[in-house]
Amino acid sequence: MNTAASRMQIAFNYFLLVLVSIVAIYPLVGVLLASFYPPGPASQPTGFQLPPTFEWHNYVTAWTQGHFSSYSMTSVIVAVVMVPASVVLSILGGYAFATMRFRGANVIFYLFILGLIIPTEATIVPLYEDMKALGLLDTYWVLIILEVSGEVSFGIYWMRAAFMSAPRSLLEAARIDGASSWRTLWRILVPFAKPAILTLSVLTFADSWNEFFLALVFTTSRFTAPMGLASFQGRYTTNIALVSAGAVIVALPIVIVFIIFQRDFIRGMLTGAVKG
Amino acid sequence: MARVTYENVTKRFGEVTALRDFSLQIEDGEFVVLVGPSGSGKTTALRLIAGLEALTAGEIRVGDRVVNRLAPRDRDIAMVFQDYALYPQMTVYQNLAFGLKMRKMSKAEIDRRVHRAADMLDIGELLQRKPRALSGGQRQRVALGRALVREPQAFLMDEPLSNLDAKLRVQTRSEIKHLQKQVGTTTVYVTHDQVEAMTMGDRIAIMSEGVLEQVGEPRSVYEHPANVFVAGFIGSPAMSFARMNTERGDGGLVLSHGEIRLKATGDPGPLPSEVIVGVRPEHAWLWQDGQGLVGPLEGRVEFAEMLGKESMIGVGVSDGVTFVVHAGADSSIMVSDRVRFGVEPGRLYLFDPATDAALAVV
Amino acid sequence: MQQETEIAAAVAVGSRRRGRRKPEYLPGESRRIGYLYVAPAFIIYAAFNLYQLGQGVNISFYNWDGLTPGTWVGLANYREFFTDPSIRETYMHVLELMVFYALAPIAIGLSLAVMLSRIRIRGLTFFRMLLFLPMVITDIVTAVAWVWIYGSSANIPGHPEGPLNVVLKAVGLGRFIPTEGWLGNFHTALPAVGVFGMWGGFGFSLILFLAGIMKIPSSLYEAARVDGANAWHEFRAVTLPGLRYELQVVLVLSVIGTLGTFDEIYVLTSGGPGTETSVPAWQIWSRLFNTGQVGSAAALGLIMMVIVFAVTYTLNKLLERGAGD
Repeated sequence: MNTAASRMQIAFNYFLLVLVSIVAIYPLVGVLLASFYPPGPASQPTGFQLPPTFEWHNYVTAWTQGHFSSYSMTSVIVAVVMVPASVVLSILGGYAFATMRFRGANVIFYLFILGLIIPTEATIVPLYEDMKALGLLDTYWVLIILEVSGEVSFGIYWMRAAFMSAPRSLLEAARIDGASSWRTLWRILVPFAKPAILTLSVLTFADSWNEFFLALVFTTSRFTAPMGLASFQGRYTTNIALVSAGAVIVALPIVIVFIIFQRDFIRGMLTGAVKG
Repeated sequence: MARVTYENVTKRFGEVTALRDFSLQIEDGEFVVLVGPSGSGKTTALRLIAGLEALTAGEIRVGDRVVNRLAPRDRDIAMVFQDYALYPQMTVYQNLAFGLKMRKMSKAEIDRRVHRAADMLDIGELLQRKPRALSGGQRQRVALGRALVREPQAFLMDEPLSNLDAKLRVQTRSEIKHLQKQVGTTTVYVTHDQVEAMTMGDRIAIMSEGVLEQVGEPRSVYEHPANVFVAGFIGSPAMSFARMNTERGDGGLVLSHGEIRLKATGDPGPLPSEVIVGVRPEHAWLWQDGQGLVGPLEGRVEFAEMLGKESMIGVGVSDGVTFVVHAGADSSIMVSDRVRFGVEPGRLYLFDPATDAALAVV
Repeated sequence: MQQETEIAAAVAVGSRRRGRRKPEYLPGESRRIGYLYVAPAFIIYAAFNLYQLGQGVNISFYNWDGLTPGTWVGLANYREFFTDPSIRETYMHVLELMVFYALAPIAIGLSLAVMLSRIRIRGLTFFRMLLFLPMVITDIVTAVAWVWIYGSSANIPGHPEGPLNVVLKAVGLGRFIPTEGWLGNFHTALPAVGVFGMWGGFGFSLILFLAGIMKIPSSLYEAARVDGANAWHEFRAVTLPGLRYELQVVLVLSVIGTLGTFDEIYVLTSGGPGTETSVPAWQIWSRLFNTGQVGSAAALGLIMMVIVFAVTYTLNKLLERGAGD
């Protein structure tokens, strides 16, 4: 990078790096540790010492009586339907914009881009009334549909960019070979764009799992995990250990996915943001 | 009959005309090379046959069938791309078989064709590999193979050798030519390299800025260029040009420029008062009496390139006029020396300065 | 996170030149098939997003509690933006939060990145993972963690002290702890939320800038040094211009993101104490569900959209201009 750094400088830098990393994860580690404390206001997780004993039954309580099993299930069901649906729709749309010519393509594309800037708050009121009228309140479907409709704008933008990065000659060879548009998409372009699709899926999953506002507005009993945690926390404000257990349950899937796919995740967040 | 015909084909991209009233007939089994500098329209012409671009005017026929409106897949052509365009996630076998699968050919037939092509191209051992595990030369063969298996009416090749290193290029050149003679498929080949064109083409079509300048066998294009552009493009090192005045005197044609006077052999009839004179370096020699050369011309050496078995010497004859002259390998000519040189008789090419068209050779 | 990334993408697309040519079709190319591929996504998007924009405009012209029929009030709900102080207040709060959510992470991330870029860091992947966690984990979860951090026994007997108070008490600064707790005190509530946001965003900013600095060719630094530049000059002449794009991105993302703050407000303060931490999204939700001001909520939602548009546009214009070449 620059001129050779002294050993002191190197040590200082690592010290700094470790310091900020600790700052970043301290609240999270604190909650993790707190979740093992015996429940009840008597024990006070201070965040600076290990729990006196490792009580697993906070998790059991949260899972059963706390209903986190059903909250997690709801989130899983929504994500499992929503992510493939959203990604497939984005692949189809992105493919069309990247490789095909049709009247008004530009207009339609910009309409999608508009969706990137429309905040949920702008449409939440009419959406609520619509869903009420359709009788879809408090169902899996309302969350699935709204998350998909909210995600396709970014997905189409992302996949269009990914497909446009394929060499033109590849598509031309496929045309000459006689592949139909469907075949060209699934046999040639999709394998080519696998990393981009993976990144999109991971980001979409994260958005779905982390979605709170929609769940808050549209569900009254069929809570997703974040929604469940928020209401749980409201009910058990003093039982830190128990709430922490719930928090860990909610955080676990996304943390695991992040750790496994962190390269794609981070690349997606950085390039999606930076490259535009 | 697998003729390929261009009839008054014009192609415009918005305001830019890439191809202008282009007409050319390529006979069955012929290997025709479209050659020219970048922007000459040669690649556009090729892509128009393939159907990768739509033409603005005119007609293109493949085997007597007008293909203007047909999709590429229906034109019975196969193409070899400059970057090979191999499908990265498929094995070599799958790459070769893809086009055949799309045409619903039987597995047995596909297998037969793929193996036959693999044998011809000597890539049999690579069939299970993926493109990224292949060298540039191997990928190029797979690209050729993909075209071979299709057994089309015409092969279209878009600068297939330009991504290879020089040595491989020379070797592959003859292999492609040999292959084509073997299968006998009409081939349209695009390149910017005139050496490639001269060595590979049955006929070559020289193009410049969307216009067909000349088409003919390599030998005849070399010996009888139709205009200044062709004369300067074909042949390496390139022809030297000078504007000169024509006079009648000494019982024949005299070309003069400043103090230079050249007595030409032969009499080509009426000429404009000024002509462009072209001389190929291989026909210009350092002066030696008694060789029957036309000249002598005299000038100062501007540069000297030692090429092993010969040297090329740039002689500045007068203001801005330079002739490139031949010399033996043992010549000890240096820059700034004054030298004299002459031209082989019958090797002065005369062109009309107004139209650039060839007038005569004296 | 989703919203912010999306906005950055929209901005990038909008700033490209627009071609307005009729499409030139290739031989044998279908002229209609594009529509088929786009249709599924477009139908869902239009039916549950675009259509609602129009509906929202309609609803915003009414006084409506969501149950009984509403009454037409024309632009009254929009006029409220100028007359009702509580609405402007939400945007003031968001503006204050931007200092914590946008400016602070940028400043911290930038300075740290400059310092850290001087050496090659081993195990960067591991540190990067840790630093990204605050942004990746569900907001509700991280907010719950900070509820614990800010925890105070002051107003709720028996409520455990959070680590912040434990530390403050241990170093003798216990008297600074507000009696109602950090999140319950009128003066400290909003900054407390701000600190949460600062913590949430600095890691992303740091990593982004670090990656950006790595991309600056070291030859530029060497040239600067040969010209006699010291560290500060290097920063101003080489680093800052080289990070132009990253700066633009983080700024736009974090500013727009702050406008939509909601999740942490719900968990940390519920908009309180009083209305000290109310933000636009909170107010919209509150008017929709708590106070039965549905028409007003719709209007506020559309106003928020216009403000987001305007801020995005202005920020980009300003940043494009400042970029120069």
